Amino acid sequence: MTAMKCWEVFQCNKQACPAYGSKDLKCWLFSGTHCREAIQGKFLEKMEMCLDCEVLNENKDFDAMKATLNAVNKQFKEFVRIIGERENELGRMSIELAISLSEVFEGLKKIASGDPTVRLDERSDIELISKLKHFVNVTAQEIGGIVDQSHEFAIVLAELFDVLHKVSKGDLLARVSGRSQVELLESLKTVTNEMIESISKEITRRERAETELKKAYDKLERKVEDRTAELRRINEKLWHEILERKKAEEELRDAELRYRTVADFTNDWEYWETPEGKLRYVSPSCERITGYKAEQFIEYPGLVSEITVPEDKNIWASHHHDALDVLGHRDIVFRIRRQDGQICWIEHVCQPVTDNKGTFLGIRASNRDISMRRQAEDALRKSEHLLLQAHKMEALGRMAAGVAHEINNPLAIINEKAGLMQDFLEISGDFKQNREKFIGLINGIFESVKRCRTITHRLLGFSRRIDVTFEVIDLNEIIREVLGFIEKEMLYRNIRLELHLQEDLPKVFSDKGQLQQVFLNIVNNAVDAVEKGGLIEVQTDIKDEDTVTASIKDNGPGIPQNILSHIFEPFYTTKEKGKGTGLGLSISYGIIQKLGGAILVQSEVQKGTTFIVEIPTKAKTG
Amino acid sequence: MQANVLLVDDETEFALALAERLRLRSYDARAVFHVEDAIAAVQSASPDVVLLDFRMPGMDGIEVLKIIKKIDPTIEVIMLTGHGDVRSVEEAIRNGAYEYIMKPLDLGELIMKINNAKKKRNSIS
Repeated sequence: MTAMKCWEVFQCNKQACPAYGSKDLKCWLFSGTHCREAIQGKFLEKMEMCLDCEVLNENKDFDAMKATLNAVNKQFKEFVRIIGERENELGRMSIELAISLSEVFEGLKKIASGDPTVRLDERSDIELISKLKHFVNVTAQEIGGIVDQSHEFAIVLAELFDVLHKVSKGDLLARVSGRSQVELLESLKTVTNEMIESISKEITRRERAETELKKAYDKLERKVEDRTAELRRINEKLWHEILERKKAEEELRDAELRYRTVADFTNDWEYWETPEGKLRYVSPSCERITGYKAEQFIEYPGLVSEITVPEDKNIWASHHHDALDVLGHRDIVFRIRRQDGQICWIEHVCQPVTDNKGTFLGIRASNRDISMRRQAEDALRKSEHLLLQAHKMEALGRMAAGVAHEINNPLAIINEKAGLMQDFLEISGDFKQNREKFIGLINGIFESVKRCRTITHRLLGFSRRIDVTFEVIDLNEIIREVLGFIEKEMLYRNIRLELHLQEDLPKVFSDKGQLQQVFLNIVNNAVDAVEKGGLIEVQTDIKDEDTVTASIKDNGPGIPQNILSHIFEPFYTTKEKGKGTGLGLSISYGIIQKLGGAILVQSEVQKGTTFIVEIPTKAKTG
Repeated sequence: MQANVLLVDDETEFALALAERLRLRSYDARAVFHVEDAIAAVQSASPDVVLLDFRMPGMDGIEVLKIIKKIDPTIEVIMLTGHGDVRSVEEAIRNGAYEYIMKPLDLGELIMKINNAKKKRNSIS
């Protein structure tokens, strides 16, 4: 039978294997070969593998198996012998080992208890024990040396501590003395002494430095204190200044608030105009006076000029110009038209504003609404005028009465003497020569006396010494009657008359004859005033429920202002000599006053004159 | 018979001329220029009518009127006034004056008033 080859059984193709293709077919397992994918091991393991080997089983090679068992048996015997020898040796070694270890332990025990004098017999068959004993002896010797050194260390260290303690207490002269066999301790002493020396020097140096430092520190401290005090003073001063400034600012704010409040609540229209013509401040009161808001004036400073009435624009413009050019107090009075169209009188006062260097800062102006004051002044002027007029009239009346009385007496003499002459002429028939001429002369005297009597009686009437008779009168009728008296003269002089008589004019309770005299005087004056072809307008009106008016208007030359105030004075006339007595208007004035009415006159030169007579409807004697 | 007229006025020229004019018209007219003379004349002659000026030196015309009326209430007094003071006239009339007339006077008007006064006196006495 052909033996199965391992490469065939395991279908191995590893041709590099030494078993592959071999011809002796030996078991490569026991030959120390490597096979079956690194199957290797000790003898027993190889045995186990061999018994399980498929190649062996396939081949059933009993010889090979016997050879293998013999080899195994031989090996076992060898093993038993070796084990016996080893067991003997081990017994011997165990006894020596136990004794030696006991010595070693005893020695170590002594060393551990502080006795480094132990010495062991180092001889032994067991090298390890010899080495161990030697190690114990060496160790004991070394420990003995170490103990000796420790004592020296302790002594030296105590000395060092002692010295260091002294040094620490300030004894810088303390030094470590003596010498030591131990180099380290000797070095330590040296180093300690050097260190103490160094520390001593350092301390001395430091003390000096410290003293210097302290001096410097004290100096610095003083400086710091001085500087701090200085700073504190400066700080206090600064704080004081800040407080002062705060106080000043508060006062300034307070002052500004106070002045602004005063300015804002002032009754007058205040403003401040800059040199550039802008309005720096306008008080709110401008709105009450002008109707325009302060902002409107600030936005458009030209508004002041714009609302000035045309008649006063020149006053405002020239003043305004002056105020900006000339540094001085200025005041004017002008009128403005308020926003609601009303005319308002303004008293304007302004003055330049300068700073403490004299620099011109603009114009400070105050505008006061003096409309009420003007009205009051006008009323007062009128009242004063009327009072003055009344006083004047009263004085003149008294004088007129006196004059009339004084004239009447000589006039009565003239009258009676002329009458006597006339009587004698009539009685005496012998007086024929120039008789008629004498009679004419006497009649001339009578005429003059009559004229004088008319004057004196009028004067007396002017002085209110003639009684009045009240009755119910139609004013329109009186005017028609009066105009009837002078109708012919007006016709002759080609004077046009326009009558505008109020139809439903209330009747008046007054003196008819005296009213006739008044209207006759005024209409006569109007006729005298107008040129040929002139116009006289007569009009009656109802003024109120208690008063009616009659106005006589002419288009004559008018009465100049300086004459107008004298026209009611007695004997004041502008008529040619002999044409007027100068009593007509004064008597008319007296009559109308006595009847409780008034005479007003309006006149404009070259345009004409209007007399307005106001008559109370009920009796109201003056 | 025409009235007996006493003219009392310190304006001598006036009084004399008027008295003469009245005499030319058949009045028994006499002029005196002082209050005392007037009172004496009233007492002695008892005139029908006295023309008495309001202003006499030494005494007011009203006072003289009162004296005359006291002497003889039937004598009619016509007051002469140069100034037409209504209040004075009223006072004179309250004190018994018959009438008043203003200077310079109208002779016709005066004669009419004298005649009326004479008539009144005659009707009383």
